[in-house]
Amino acid sequence: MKFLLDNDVFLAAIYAGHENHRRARKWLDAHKTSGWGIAAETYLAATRLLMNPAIMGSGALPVAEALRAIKTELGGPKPGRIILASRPPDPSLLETATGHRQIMDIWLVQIARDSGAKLATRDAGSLANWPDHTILVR
Amino acid sequence: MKTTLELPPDVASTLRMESARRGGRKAASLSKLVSDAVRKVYGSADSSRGQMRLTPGRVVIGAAADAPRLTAERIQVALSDDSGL
Repeated sequence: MKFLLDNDVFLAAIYAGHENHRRARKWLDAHKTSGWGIAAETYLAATRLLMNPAIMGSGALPVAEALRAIKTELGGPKPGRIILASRPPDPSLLETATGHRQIMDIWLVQIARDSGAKLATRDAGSLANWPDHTILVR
Repeated sequence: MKTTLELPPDVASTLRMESARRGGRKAASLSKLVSDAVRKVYGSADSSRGQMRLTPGRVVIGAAADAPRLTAERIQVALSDDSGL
């Protein structure tokens, strides 16, 4: 597996209401062949977001539909994997956080690193902090 | 359509509990819960929802007319423990 998608990139790819839907969709379609996946945390985050009326308005999905949508994206001829962390959180990485909202980003960077993949993100800050383990989705 | 329904006590109680579980009347009104349940059981489409295009390996979920434009920041806020979303 070459790419691990972060929450923002994965949701942008599957949801047309995201401001970067077209770019993320195009990027994912072009890079699936290389091998891709999402962390279990991203799977759960996407499920939460697709069910959330504050995010989806009246289009908020029942859980079965949200799970079906994610499963369908992960299927097909170039399937994606759901990645479970192989090691506990690495304090040396977590200690680089400058705020509480970075903790999950760092955790995804670690999962990508430990899986031999790069975290596909639109967050330029992540790219600057961990250039060896991230790739910017433009 | 506006109408009056006479619901058995157990159904009314279930609807009230489900509404509370989803965040109260504003997030899940009784009208919405009944509509969702009818659509689920009888399979009618929800015209207010965005369409969902599913092909194996490729999903595009359309945005509902009342959905906010989604940004990375909004996602982060929605997922953070200290948000009200």
